[in-house]
Amino acid sequence: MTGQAVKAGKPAPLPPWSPRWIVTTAAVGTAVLRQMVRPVTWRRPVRMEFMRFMAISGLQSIPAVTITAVLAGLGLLSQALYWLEQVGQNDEITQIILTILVREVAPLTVGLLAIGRSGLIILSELSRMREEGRLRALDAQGLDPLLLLVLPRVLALSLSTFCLTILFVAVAPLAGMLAALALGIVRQPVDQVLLNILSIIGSAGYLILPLKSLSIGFLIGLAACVTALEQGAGRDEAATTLLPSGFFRALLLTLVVNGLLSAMV
Amino acid sequence: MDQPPVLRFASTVLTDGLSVDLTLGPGELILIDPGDEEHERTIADAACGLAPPLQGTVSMLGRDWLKQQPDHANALRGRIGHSFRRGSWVPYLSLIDNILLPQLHHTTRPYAEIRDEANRLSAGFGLPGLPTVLPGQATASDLVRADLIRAFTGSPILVILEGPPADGIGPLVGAIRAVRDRDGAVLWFTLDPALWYEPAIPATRRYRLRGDTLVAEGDPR
Repeated sequence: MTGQAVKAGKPAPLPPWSPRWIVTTAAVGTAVLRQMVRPVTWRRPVRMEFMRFMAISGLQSIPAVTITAVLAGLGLLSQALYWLEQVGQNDEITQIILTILVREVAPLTVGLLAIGRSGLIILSELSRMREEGRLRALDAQGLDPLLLLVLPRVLALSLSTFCLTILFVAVAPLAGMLAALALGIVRQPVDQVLLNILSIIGSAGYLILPLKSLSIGFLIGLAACVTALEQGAGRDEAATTLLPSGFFRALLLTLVVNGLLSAMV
Repeated sequence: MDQPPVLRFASTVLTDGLSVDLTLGPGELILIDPGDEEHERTIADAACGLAPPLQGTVSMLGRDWLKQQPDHANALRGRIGHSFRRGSWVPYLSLIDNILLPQLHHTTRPYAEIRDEANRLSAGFGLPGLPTVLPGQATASDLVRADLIRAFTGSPILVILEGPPADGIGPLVGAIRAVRDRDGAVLWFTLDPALWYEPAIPATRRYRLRGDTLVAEGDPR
C-alpha cells in the first residue's frame, strides 16, 4: 500500500496519516460494505473468522467494559452530588449527566477499550501474516484476504462495540444508582429510577448510540487492518512504528466520527 | 473434444524478465529447476494468475488469467493444490483447520467428508492423523507433510509444488500419480539438482533456467 524504504536496522516510520492512507482506507471500507451484503461472501471460513473475532472483541472484553462502566457510574454519581451541591437542581443535573454518558462517554470509552484490545490484536496478527508472506499463500489458494481477514474483523468489531456500548450504558447508571441507594441519596424505588433513566435518554440518544458505536467499531477495525496490511518496513516495524501508528489512526478516526455524529444528531 | 491444457504459458515474459513458454497438458508432470527461489515464486505466481506477465498470456484450462473476474479467478485458484516452500500457515488456526480451509471456502462439501479425505491423505504421507496443534507447535517434518496434504486435498486439477523436500518422494509420487490418473497435472519446482535428475520421478518433461529463459531438457536452444 505505501512503499516505505527500509534503512538498514532502522524501520521506516509510518506517517500518522497521509492522503494515500485515507484513500486506501476509504476504498477498503467501501469494499467491506459492498461485500458484506453479498451472500456469497459469507462462506464457512468467513463465518468462522467472524465468530472467532466476535469472541475476542466481544465476549472477552465484557469484564473490562463492566469494570470500566462501574467506575464510570461511580464517577458520574460523584459529579451529580458535586453539582447538586453547587447548583441544587436535581432533575436537570441528572438529565445532563445521563445525556453526556449515553451520547459521549459510553461510545468513546468503549471505543478506546476496543482500540487498546481488539485493534492491537488485529495489528499484531495481520502485520505478522504480511511480513511472513502468508497473504501471498492465501491469494494463491483463491482465498481473498479482504474476505477472509479484513471483512470479518471489521464487522465483528463494529457489532461487538455496539453490544459493549449497550452493556456500558446499562451498567454505568445502574452502578451509580445502586451506590446512591446504598448511600441513601435516592429514596425512589429502583424500578422508578430505571424508568426515569430510560426516559431521560430520549429518542435522539437511542438513535445516536447505535450509530456512533457501530461506526466507531467499524472505523477502528478498518484503521487497524489497513495499517497492518500496508507494505511498510520489516519485522521490527510492529513494535516500533506500526502499533503506535495504528493506535493513533484508530483514535483519530474515533474522535472524528464521534464529533461529527454529535454535531449532526 | 480435445481437453484444453491445464496450464499454458504462451510466449510469456514474466515480471523479472524471465521468458517462459510451456504447456502442461492433462496427466502431465513437469519438473522445473528455476535457479533460485525468487524465480520460482515468479513462475508460481504467474501460474496461478497472481502476477500478470509483461508479455504473452498465461491461461489455466484455456482461460486467460487476465480476462477473469476476481471472483472467477479465485474460484479457478480453488482448483489448484499448492504446496509452499515455507508452509505459509494461518498462525492462529490449527493445522487441521489450515488444511481444510481452502476446501471449506471453495466448496459446499460437508466438513466431515473433507476431513475424511485429508485423513486418508495423511495416512499416505505417514502421519497417524491430521495434526490438531497450531503451526507454531508442530515439528518441521509434520509441517512439510501437512503442507502436502493440503495441496492434494480436494482433487485439484493442478498441483504446484514449491520445493518439496527430497526425503518423502515415495508417498509424493503416489499422490502425484493419483492426480495424473484423473487428468490433473503437476508443476514441481526444485532447486536440488539431484532431485531434478531423479529417475524415480516420472516427469513428462524437465525444464531448467538457461540465461533468462526456461528451457526444456534436450532443447538445443
